[in-house]
Amino acid sequence: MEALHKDSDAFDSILKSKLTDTSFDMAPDCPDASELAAFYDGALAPLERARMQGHLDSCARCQAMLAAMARADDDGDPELAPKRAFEWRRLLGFGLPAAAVAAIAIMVVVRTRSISQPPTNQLAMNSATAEAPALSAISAAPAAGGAEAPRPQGEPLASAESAKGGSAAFGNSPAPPAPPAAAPPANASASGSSMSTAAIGGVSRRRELAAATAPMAAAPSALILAEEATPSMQDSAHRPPNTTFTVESPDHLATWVIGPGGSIVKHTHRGRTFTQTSGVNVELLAASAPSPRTCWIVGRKGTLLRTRDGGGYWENVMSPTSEDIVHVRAADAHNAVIRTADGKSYATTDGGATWHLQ
Amino acid sequence: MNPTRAETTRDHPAAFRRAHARAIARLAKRGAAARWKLDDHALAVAVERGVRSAEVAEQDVDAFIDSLRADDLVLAAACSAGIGAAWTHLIETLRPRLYSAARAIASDETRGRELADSLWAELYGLEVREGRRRSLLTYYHGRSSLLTWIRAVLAQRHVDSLREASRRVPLDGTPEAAAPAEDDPVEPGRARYVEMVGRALDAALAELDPRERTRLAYYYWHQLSLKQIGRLMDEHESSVSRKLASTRDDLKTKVDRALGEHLSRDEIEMCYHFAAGDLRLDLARALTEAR
Repeated sequence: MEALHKDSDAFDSILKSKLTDTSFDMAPDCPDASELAAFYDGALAPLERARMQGHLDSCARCQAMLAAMARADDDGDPELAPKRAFEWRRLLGFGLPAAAVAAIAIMVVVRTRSISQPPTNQLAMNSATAEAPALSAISAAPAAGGAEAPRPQGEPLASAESAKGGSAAFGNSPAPPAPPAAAPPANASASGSSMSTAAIGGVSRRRELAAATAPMAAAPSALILAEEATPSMQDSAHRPPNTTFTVESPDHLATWVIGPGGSIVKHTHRGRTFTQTSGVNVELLAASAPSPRTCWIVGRKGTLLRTRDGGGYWENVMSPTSEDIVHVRAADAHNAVIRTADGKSYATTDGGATWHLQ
Repeated sequence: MNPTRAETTRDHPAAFRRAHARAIARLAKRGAAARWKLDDHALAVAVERGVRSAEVAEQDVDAFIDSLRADDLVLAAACSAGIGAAWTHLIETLRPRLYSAARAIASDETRGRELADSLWAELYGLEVREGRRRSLLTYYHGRSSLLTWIRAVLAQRHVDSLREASRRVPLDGTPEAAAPAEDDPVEPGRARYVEMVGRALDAALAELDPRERTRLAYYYWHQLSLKQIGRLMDEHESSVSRKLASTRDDLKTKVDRALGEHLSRDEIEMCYHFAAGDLRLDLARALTEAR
């Protein structure tokens, strides 16, 4: 059985290399962007659509273009995806039962975790919630499962297929395995929680997160990640200086990894990674991401940054202070509260145009 | 193509506008053209271009106009006409999305920004004809959402730049592929094994139905999710999964059988092992060169 698996992995790699056509050979009569877009949006008449499908089967260029469009459409931002009628049909036919099963699974997982949570697992120096062990397991995950590569975009083939035995190899991604991340000495007791979270599909993203975090700072990231108990709000109070920290949107669609010297890396739930330009090189101390598109980051010397487009552009928000800002909590792009190192709190309701001392 | 084409209103702008004035007025209303103070003539010109591009039969023109994305087409027509308020709206609503899409398509922050900057400039209109800027938005016809069209244009630019790069031949004119395969002195027979796997797989792939090959390419090459593949191929993701698994197993069986005519089971496994390593190197080199 083991030999078959190795064999299958090798075959998948061979298949991938054989199917990669970097010459982008094109067939005659390629459609223009307008037609491709209409095809993608399902706006072509049935006959036109069938003709387009026929063209796609013989045109590597158009296949590549549609694949690129699909990647852009799934960039982790639900606002970017056009709404379509057939998705409602899917929701009614397949999504609702699946959602019900998922909801039950999450309830079971949460319940199991709350029962099995050992008290010694409270690595966080501040008030860690039940999420903390799961986050600290991020660093441990690659070491435990380094042989399995996450599918860069999307998911492996359905688990039902894997269960059929003959197609078991299909569950593995054809992509080459991801380089193992440096595994800091995470506490062993986190593994139980890690498995619970894996059941709801969070391991791949965490591995990538850990892989990206590792080169950014040699700091004990397990401690830091464990400290980040509140997903959308980070506080620098208990963090060593110049270390990496993360902030995640409440819906888990986007995670920003913020490192020393103003470095920012964004991960989406689809496993995509973007290096972003903060425009500053001071130490950033805390962040709050109320949505996948909006994130506030604060730092030394009154540094106050905000993005409203998922990190494409980080703007300098007018700061009410030149003191170090150690904490930020934002409700959206307009409403936020910050706290300085000397304990002063300021609030804005207009995106930072005016601040009120609280 | 169509014998009556010369007689249709498409070739007579004034007649086109008269014949389809009601449908155009409905479109203007749906798209709130008054918001941008877009005149009927400018919208009619945009619609006419779309009708001509899609080669719509005369009797279907009104239904076609009713099916267009009114708000996006009106916005694009207003921007093309140089209406400032429309541009402000486009900048606020679409620009961040354009940059986000470009980053996702290029998978690289810098390249994505270049791609987006270049397209944004063309949307604004770099080319000036008869004292007026010609915006790329004039090529948007409203059959898809404006955002999808922008993604399509970005994808086209990106893929064509990769295609162009892959065609570049080294200056010395000796493509690396022409070099004879050298055998590995440490693992004799390696080159032969790799070649055998490659040949067997090529033969098996050649027997595939084009649609099966497309599905495999989306999965293995483009690494799309099952859901994404399903959407592009009009299949449910569970069907995609089942068909992919079946095709892959068929291919494996055929390659096994072809290799089994000359090699033992152990040798076949060695073939796969060598080929996986060597072809992965080839792929990495090909992709690097393509960039």
